[in-house]
Amino acid sequence: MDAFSGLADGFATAVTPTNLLWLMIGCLLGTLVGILPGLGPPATIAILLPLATNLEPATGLIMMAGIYYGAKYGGSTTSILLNIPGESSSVVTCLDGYEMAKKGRAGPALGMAAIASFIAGTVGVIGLTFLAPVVANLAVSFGPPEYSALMVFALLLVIMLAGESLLKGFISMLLGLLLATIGTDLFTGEQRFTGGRIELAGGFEFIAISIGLFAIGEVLVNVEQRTGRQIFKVPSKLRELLPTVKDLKDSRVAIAQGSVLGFFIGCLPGAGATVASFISYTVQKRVSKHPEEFGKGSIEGVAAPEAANNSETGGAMIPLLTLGIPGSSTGAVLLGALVLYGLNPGPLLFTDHPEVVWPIIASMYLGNVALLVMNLPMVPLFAKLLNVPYWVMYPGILLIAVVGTYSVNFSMFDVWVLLAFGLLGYVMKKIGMPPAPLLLAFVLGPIAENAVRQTLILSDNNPVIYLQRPISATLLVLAVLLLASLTLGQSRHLRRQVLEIDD
Amino acid sequence: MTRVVHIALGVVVALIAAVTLAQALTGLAFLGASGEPGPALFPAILSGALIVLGLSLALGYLIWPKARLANREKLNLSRPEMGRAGGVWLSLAAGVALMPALGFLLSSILMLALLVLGMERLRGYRPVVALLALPIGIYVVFAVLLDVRLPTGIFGA
Repeated sequence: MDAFSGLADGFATAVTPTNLLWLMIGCLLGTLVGILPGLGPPATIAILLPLATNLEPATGLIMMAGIYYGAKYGGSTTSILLNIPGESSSVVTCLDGYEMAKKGRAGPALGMAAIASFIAGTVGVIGLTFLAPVVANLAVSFGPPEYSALMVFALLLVIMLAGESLLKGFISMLLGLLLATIGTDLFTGEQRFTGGRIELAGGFEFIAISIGLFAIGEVLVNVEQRTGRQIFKVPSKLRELLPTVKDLKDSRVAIAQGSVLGFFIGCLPGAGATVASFISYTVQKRVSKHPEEFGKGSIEGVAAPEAANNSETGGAMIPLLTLGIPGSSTGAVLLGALVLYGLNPGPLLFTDHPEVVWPIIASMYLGNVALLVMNLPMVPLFAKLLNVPYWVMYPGILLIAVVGTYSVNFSMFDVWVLLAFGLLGYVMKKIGMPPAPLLLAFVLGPIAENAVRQTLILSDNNPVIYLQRPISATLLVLAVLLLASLTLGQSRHLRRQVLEIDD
Repeated sequence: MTRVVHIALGVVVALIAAVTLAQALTGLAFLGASGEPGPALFPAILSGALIVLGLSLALGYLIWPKARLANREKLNLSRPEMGRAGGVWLSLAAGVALMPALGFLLSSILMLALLVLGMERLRGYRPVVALLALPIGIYVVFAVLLDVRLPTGIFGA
């Protein structure tokens, strides 16, 4: 069956009143639950899985697609409004989305998140429909050397989030990498820096660190002064609560590159939405006409990661459906759902069960539309939530942070970790050390370490293997060029500052 | 003050990294049985790099001419403001400490009372409604509607 006729059949199956109804319910539930921190798409799908598995396979999977998209959008909402990244891929959205909210542009930020997600998600699904076999081969050609080179490249890009001080940015990144080594070593099973605590055997919980650093750290900075003052400006006019035509024009390039980058990075199992959103953000910062606005409320800084975050969905479906390899934790849950329905993801899924696969792909198109139609009108309402007095909002943020963290492993230890990183986040903000490199390095570190160690095992500790494989060699050359450009750029910046002072 | 803070930061980072390096080298294997990279490799490299960077930061602020640094970055380190932030953090910590014993609901109400009535010094019915409604609302959404288990304590909620 070719792609066109498969997709046509898929739409014919998906566009029934029952399936559309469950798709809308899935989108709504996904958004509402995804808004709650600690409950990202994987947890949301897991919670709502019993509901979906009572339905027919195609209907249940269509509903789960709706939940997934809804949860992703819900995660973006808390990133923008409250600076709480519900999952690792939402961290980058916090950087500019929350700054836009503080300037009274929460509505445009939320609206842009919805629009960029819609466009990029559609691009991702088109890519999935027509490029699945080709891209599956690319995914398979990525081995440990390629992964480790990609991670080195990505870690250097992390430094671009360092702001003015490269040195403090590097320190933040290295601290994140070091934190990621705490726990059980995957290769030998040895405990590293756990102090004998069983709670640290799996390492620190990501949610505790991210919410602590970002949300609690931000609250502590805001409460330094009496909370009677307005923390957020909230416009009253409806047209100021939605993105303007200028916003859309300014974000064209961001959405386009985010869509493409997100899709191809999403195809790599394990790379996922975090790497996609973050690489897209840094690329956009490099090519933007106004890079100085990034980190201070740039609309492109919201559009690029949101686009990448959503087109990644289409890309991540490729290894799942064609090779049976889940590309992310959400993919793992979907894989479980497919198995529950008696389906075996792999190369034969398209030929053995086209009646399930093509409706899923069709529902991803429809899910994008449903998300835009449902959430765009709600943007002004979400933005108005910022009118709530800050003395009510910040205790609520603290409580939700505690609950969200506790709900991951039902562990009070994680809550204490949340508090510790909350204090660290506050201290980092006070001393001008950016927290984003620490958090992103914490996510990328284990992937990087495992890939490097696998590579060295494969090559008998001979690093020349990186240069012998074209993809890894290219990535490493790009990494070296990037490092040189960063160092030269910082030196020029320092020299300029010294000259200004001497004048 | 900015200069002192950065010197202290550099020294603290270098010290933490040194302790980590020592633990990695004494407690973990650098190479495996067949010569493959061991669990100490990455931590050792990272700690070494952090020692260098921490000392660079401290020395940079120590020996760089004061005039050149003075205009670069001024940190806002007001004691009253940091005291307020510290007070909020301590209130949160107190609430968390009470959670295993009193449960989520009661400890949250007490924590909010500390924040709203103590830290913010608000009076009237609105603050009281808020400090009761927020924990109850969050409890209903998570524990009742989503069936997410929350700390129950001796009173069961």
